[in-house]
Amino acid sequence: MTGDLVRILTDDLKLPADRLTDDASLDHAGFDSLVVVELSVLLADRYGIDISDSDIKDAATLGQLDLLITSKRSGR
Amino acid sequence: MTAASEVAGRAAVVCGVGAALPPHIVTNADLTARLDTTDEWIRSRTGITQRHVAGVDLSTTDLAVHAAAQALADGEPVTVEAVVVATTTPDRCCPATAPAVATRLGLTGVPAHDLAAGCTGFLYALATAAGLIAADTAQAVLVVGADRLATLPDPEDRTTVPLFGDGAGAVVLRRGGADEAGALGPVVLGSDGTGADLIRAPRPGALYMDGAEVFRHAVDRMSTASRQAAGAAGWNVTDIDRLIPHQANSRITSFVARQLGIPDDRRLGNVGDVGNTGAASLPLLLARSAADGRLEPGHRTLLTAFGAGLTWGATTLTWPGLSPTCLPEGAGHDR
Repeated sequence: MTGDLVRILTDDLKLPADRLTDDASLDHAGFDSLVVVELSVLLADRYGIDISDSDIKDAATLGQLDLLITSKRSGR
Repeated sequence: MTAASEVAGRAAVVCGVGAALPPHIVTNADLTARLDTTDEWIRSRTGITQRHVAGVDLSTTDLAVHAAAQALADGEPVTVEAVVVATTTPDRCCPATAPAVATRLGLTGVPAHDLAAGCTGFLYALATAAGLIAADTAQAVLVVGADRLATLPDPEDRTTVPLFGDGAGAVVLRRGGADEAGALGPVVLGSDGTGADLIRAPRPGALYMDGAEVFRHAVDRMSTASRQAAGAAGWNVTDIDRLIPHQANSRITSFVARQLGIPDDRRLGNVGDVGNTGAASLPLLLARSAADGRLEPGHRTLLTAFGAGLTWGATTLTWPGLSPTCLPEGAGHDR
């Protein structure tokens, strides 16, 4: 996972750092509906990228979520 | 007849502030003893560590009277000629709370009415009171936000019970000049009934809230209204010394500040100690912050709120030389 996503998840969304691994499911990492919407709002605010709640929930792992964010940020 | 230029320079000026909290405190530990939740979850998701909850012997009217009496005692001496009470939790359907509040304060005879606009109620009441002053109905108006939101959740609902507390706050507005400290700037208000189901309580003990959607709307609406209110007052967002946001959840207010580009040390809060107190939230925070020195005379202050309805709003004022001497019980300070 990129440092940016780790920082967002730990510093902004207060998720437990010891659960943030590439192959962790979002549930395991502590995501719930509020964390999903917070992340969506935060990504739009910080990076100007639009990732919907359902796109975030569809990521099977944090690694996949990271890839999704990285590709959106690079405009791919 | 009043000259047009004099009318143009008129404003409603804040000249008193007060607050009241029930003495009984419910801590997160009290809640985790009976609900399937944890202190860590409540604190990390909401910032709340305790809330004040009124017993059966303390009504919304009682809380309103206590807060109003403090605002009248500590502020400039004025003759109050109208009373507006914002509440979502009146003691009864009919009659309204405000006439009873007025009478208990020795103000029988003045116009008095309630309004309901969820957690934005206090800002709606400020605009209404400023209108009463502009309409020459009153030279000075008592504005109270009072709620017992702890009565709304299902007592067994671990997701909503921790969020809410009871309390009241009040300010006194008087006619004054737009260039005075304490003069209210333009009050931006809005509503969207398509979101009515996102926060609803058909009766006490039956609150439903879609937390995720409320979060998204709250951040967006408060940020937008804040920019509009600052712009209407002729302020840049960078001019703002103190952001006073509705205290529902510290993560919402953190997002709002971030979206506005307001540094965190300018964002005031007390949700940790009182929870979400509805229409009481903003005046409680004003009173607390003025008392503990975080809000000082001359601070350019922006108020914003969001609530059920959906409703939202924002306004500005330069804080006047007001510092309540008697703090509401147990009200500490945090973000």
